[in-house]
Amino acid sequence: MRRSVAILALLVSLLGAANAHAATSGPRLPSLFPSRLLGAVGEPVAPPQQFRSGFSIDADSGYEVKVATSGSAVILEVLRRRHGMRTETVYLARGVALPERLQATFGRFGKISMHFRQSHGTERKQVVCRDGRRFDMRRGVFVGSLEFKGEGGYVAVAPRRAKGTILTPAGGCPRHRRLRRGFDLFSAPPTTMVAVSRQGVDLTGFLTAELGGRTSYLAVHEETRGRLGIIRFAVLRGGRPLHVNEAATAATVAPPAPFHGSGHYRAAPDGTTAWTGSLSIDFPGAPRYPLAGPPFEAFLEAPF
Amino acid sequence: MKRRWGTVLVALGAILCLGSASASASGVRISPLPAAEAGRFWTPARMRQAKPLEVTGPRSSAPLSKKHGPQGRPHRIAAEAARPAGFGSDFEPVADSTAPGDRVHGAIFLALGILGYGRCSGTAVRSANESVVFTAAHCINSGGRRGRWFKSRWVFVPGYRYGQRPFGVFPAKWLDTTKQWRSSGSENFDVAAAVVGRNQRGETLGEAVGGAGIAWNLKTQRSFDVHGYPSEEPFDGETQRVCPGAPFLGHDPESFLAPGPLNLAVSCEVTGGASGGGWIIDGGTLNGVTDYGYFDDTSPDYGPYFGNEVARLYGRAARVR
Repeated sequence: MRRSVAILALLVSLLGAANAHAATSGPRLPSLFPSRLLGAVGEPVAPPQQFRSGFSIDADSGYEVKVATSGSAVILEVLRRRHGMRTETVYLARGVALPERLQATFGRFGKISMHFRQSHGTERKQVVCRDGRRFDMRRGVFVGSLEFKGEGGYVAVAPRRAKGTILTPAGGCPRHRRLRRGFDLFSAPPTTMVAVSRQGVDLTGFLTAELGGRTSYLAVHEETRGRLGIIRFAVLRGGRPLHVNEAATAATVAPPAPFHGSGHYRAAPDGTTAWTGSLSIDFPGAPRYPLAGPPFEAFLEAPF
Repeated sequence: MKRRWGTVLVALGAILCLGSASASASGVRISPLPAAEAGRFWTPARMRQAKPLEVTGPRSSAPLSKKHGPQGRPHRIAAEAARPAGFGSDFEPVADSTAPGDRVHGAIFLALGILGYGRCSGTAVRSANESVVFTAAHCINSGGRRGRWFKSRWVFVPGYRYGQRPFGVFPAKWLDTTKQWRSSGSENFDVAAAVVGRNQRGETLGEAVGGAGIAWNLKTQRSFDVHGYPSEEPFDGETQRVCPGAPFLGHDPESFLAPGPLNLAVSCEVTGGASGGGWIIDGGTLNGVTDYGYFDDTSPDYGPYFGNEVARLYGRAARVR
């Protein structure tokens, strides 16, 4: 049966609309790309959930750490943002994901057990609008314990309290700005290169799209370790244009940091394709993660 | 490229009101189609026309309840006739789909109105009423609060092969899914049961083919014999296939976000039509069903964990008379 697009919804919601537009290339995405990512191309969709609660703290290592509920999971996000670039690793754990209680174990990386205390003087709910949806927002403090240390200690946090919020959907906003479409369907189609590798339940994907002189890159890796899910992704806007030959049978991709190296696409006359090279990415907690090589299936689409 | 057998077929079918029953706490009863009539209707040509059932659209993510999860004591109900487990993970044709052990698996066919015919896979399970079939929930109900029942001319054909119905046709008289499938559509609960009537010869399902055992709340670290009738390329749905000894690979990262116990991935290449196919352990005990896969790779095959909700579903089905 067809799968839901929960991960994509999560990812897109994390990225925000603008980045999502940059990261995806519209309805011309090749079908090779996982349908979970294909499902909501160009249409940022908030995950269908009844509440979202959590908090955000700054780690010493320069990363921002967010803890939140997402559906039935407690997720811990470690992210870094710069101009036009965002890298993030999301740790998903099952546990107690209730509006006022977050409790889960992130395997060998740590655990959380915190509950919400509403701040005095804020008993009255605030109403906020986000992406056209209205939420009742309660402000307060999450107290308890969070101990988390990422792979190799690249990030470590251990707060006992953190300011946070609980958002509960409360209908739509009467007036909201519609999210701007990524691009006009009737504009020139983008040049798109996609490479996907799935090994067992682990997935690695790389996508680059060039449209209107702008090049965007997206890298994703999903894996599970026992009862812990880990999703890593990076989005980058801007960079050198793709080098595609006239017959669209060869292309070279060499994105800037946090990517490293280059990837080379080749299509043989018999229809087989190869995606080789030294291309890799620095995900939080997984430096130099390879994005090219024999396990990848690749697809290139270029306008005439 | 294959799998994630998803189209608008079932969604449209649901909209067109293929089933009009509302979700109830104890399944939906169907005016039983006489087996002879069902047998006349499901000709080899119609069975070959049937398309795999699919479900579209994101599911709601209800907050996690403490009750969700693989809690509870392990439980097994032995099979009526066990057979030795094989090994390997290729989706290979079963030598004789009428052989003991394999005959409990079959193809499911149903009518989708103007959209044609749908198909899935299922497994006969031992029970007091000798009439219980387990399959995927999306082969019975489109899921979610607005889910519709696919109950039109729903039949189970055990041991199906090349249009033949060696044990006859067993029309459904009662259908049910896990409650969570109907409340949230969570794929972690994509399990259903049907109670079928007698075949054209007047036999119950148990009399005709026996039944697999069933077990729940077991550890996930095991191998499964994955049965099914895949009908999309490169398969044709005309023969039963099995991935013998398909090992557990892990959980789908997406299943963390949906309510319910984490689903299971096994190494087996299946396509549409295999949905609902039985995952057999220890030679004859059902402990999973095929739920979904992804287009971008041939493996794994994903299925829900058999936990307390499956136990409750089995209990409801086994009590139906």
